Amino acid sequence: MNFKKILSQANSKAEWVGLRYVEEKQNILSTKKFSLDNVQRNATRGVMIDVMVNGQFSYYATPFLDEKHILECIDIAVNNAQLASKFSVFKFDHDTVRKGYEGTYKTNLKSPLSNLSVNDIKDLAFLGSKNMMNFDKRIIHAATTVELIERNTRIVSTNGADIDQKMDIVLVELSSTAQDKKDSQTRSNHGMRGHCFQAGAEFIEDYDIETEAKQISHQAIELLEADQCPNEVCDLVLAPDQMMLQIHESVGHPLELDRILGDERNFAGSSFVNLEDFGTLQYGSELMNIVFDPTVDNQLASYNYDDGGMPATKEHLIKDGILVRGLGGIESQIRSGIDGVSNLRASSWNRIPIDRMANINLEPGVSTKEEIIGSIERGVYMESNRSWSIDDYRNKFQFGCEYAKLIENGELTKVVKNPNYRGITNPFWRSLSMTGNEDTYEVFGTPNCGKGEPNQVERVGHASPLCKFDKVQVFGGA
Amino acid sequence: MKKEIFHDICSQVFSFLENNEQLTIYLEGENSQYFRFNDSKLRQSGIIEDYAVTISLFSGKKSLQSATTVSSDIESSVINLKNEIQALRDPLSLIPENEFTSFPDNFESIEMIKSGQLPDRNEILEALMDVITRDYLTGVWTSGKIFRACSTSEGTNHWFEKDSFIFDFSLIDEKENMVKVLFPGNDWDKDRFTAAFQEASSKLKLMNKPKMELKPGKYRVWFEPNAVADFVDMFNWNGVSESAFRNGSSCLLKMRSSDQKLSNLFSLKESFSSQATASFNSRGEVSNDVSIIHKGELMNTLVNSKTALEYNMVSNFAEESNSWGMGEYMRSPLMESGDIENDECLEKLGTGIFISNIHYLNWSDTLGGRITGLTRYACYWVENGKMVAPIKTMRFDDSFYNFFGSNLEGVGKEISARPVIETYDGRNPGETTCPGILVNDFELTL
Repeated sequence: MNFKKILSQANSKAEWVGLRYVEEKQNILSTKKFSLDNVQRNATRGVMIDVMVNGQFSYYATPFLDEKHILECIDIAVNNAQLASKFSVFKFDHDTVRKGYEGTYKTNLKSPLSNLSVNDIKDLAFLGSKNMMNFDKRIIHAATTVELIERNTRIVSTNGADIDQKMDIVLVELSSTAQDKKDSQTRSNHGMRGHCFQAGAEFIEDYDIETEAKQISHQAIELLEADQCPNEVCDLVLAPDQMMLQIHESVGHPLELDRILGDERNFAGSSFVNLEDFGTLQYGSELMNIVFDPTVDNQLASYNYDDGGMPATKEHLIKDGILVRGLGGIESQIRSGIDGVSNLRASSWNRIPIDRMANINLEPGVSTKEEIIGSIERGVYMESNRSWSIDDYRNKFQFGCEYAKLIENGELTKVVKNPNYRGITNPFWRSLSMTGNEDTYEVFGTPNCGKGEPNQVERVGHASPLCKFDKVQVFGGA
Repeated sequence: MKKEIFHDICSQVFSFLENNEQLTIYLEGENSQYFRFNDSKLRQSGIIEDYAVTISLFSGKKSLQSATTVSSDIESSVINLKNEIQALRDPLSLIPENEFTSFPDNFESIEMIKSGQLPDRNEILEALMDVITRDYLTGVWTSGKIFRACSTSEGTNHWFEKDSFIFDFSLIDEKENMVKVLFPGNDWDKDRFTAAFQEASSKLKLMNKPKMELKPGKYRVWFEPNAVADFVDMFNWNGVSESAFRNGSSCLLKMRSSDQKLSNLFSLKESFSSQATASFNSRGEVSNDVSIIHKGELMNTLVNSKTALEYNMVSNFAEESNSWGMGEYMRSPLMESGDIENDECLEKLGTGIFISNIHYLNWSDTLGGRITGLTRYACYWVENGKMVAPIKTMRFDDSFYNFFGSNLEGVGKEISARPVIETYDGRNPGETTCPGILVNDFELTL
């Protein structure tokens, strides 16, 4: 499809017209116990037409890729923008809010995912499920899901933007459930859908699913036999696969400028952060260094340009514990006057870009795992998120994990089940007393971040070292 | 999309099948107008046309699915679907048979067309802005057609089409007190909207008092129907699904394994009587109402055809989602009403908390039935049947075995249908219908 030709014929009443074409192919295969459960292809493609008239955007999303139809959609969008511009919450200047950058991006990989056959991923999934099921008779259920995603995005606009980005994405999810007469416990590889990356076929070839599957079932059995997590205030050590969720909910979302500007108040909520807090708010302890980093090889949300067409660079959001920059794309930066990042992102062709997380990472510190655990007289170590809840201003949170161990006199001791903890965002982050070194640092991602009206689900990445927080309320199950 | 176009596309695609192949084609479509508001002004305006089609290709005990997009253009849609079938044929030959795979039986074809008087797309924004210029409004207007359809190569042809709109908004004052409104309908009536807006505006004025901060502890609570609907919707996530029972993840497991019961005031069923949503599933199978919990006792779970084959059960043709480990889920849940009149709820509450809405629910102990979440919007401290002051946001963590069980004191007489407002996968015609409830010893934790 010749998008530039379409733009050359676009309605002249528009100050600016942009087309964002998205094509995404997903190959998903799952096994359940010893059987094949589901094999599915998803193939979606369409174009988001965005126009500006009198400083107001209006959009039209269509899967019908016909030149005449797209031109008709542009006309309708122009008409709607004219009507809408009488009531704009903000009038944008098209040359400031949409630049005409040209560029490309491609996932760092050795071999494209398209080189994998259905047999390759079927064999991997069966290997995972069989190793989980065969571990112990008390394992009553095991499931493996493999998702391979190829996504192409092309952005062109009347002011010269021409951006082409290709991403290959892999997700492998394992879960194993142990059950006896009294209880049922499920363990997964790093929490629900947490094990996903941009990668090529080599990821599947290199993945030691057998070892991971056995460990998951071993830990599910451990949990079945474990006592409840104690109910007390003590030191808390979080593994990187739980820090992912802690960063996501209590740092990522509250720093989104569109939330602070009020766009999300009817759905996802607002933020305790105010515009005047940037540059001054002591968000956490001085060990807290949070970056927006779309440049990390193979992390889930790496890219060179956001869906607003802006080049993306690594930036500190929180430096030495001080809030320095917002998670806002060019639109929110203009509206708020606050420094932001290139994070205007859309879930697909049928949604417009809004302020989203991309890769939001906590930078490593200097402590070894042994030093962190050894510093604690009484505490709990938790891994892998399984429950998450936080209020609409992102203050009062409660998170639950799959797996935990007591820390007693500087050593990890017995396994405890149904571990949860709760707190309030700023006091919690100010209690960050140790951050692990590079050896404890791990990279994860989640494809399940929901936001926006109409709603959209976005893929985001998070990386973190092992972290210690002082004096946190922890508790167990019923 | 017109019904005839969909059927034309389907018949051309079915003719492409080879001898040993069978096919189902499921459509989820919308042609919708969206306006997003912030501070009573327009933030975003747009139109989305999206016709997502899932085809399931069967060959004996093998089946593969493909989800793709089609349009009203028959020729390109047929080419696209034929390409997808062709793309499935090679992998179909490579995968093993699955004994739990079955092509759906034929059902009598259903046609449900719910026409309404939707507002003119060029006029609705002006009409809304005439009303919403006062107070600070943030929210989203959505209107247009929603489609569901399923055709099978064996002759089933279902069609569901609905004109609907919903204005989902919050009114907010300078102190950030908030009132939530869902204004759904099929026939636009500006006077009715004006009245709904004015009622919400009056409720917001009532909140203009200093907020009370409650301490963690156990409280007597009246939950409005919208809050109860959030609790009921949790049963769709590791709850009523038979497959969730079988894989050990259902929150209702104790009701089967330990014979635990809820209050005899609590009854829940999957109900299609309101015809808000289609009673056929993505395989073209037609569901009837299913009593799930009756007077506190677990009666049935939702069973789809695959689960039925796997565990030698009878299918009630439930819909299944592969995402979020949901398994079978309720498309139109209905909790039965009780005897507390609407105007009696504060008096019956006496002293305690009136909770209009709750927020961000999750399981803190699934098997123990424990749900955590937060209060949101117009929630008040009530003394002797009188609203005293709005409360600051509080976190709760309590088990439904308590608040739908031994601590459930009463149930409202009036039930309220809350349309599905989530649009992650497009607009959804379903709804959750609930009364309010009166609960003792509800646990607030932070």
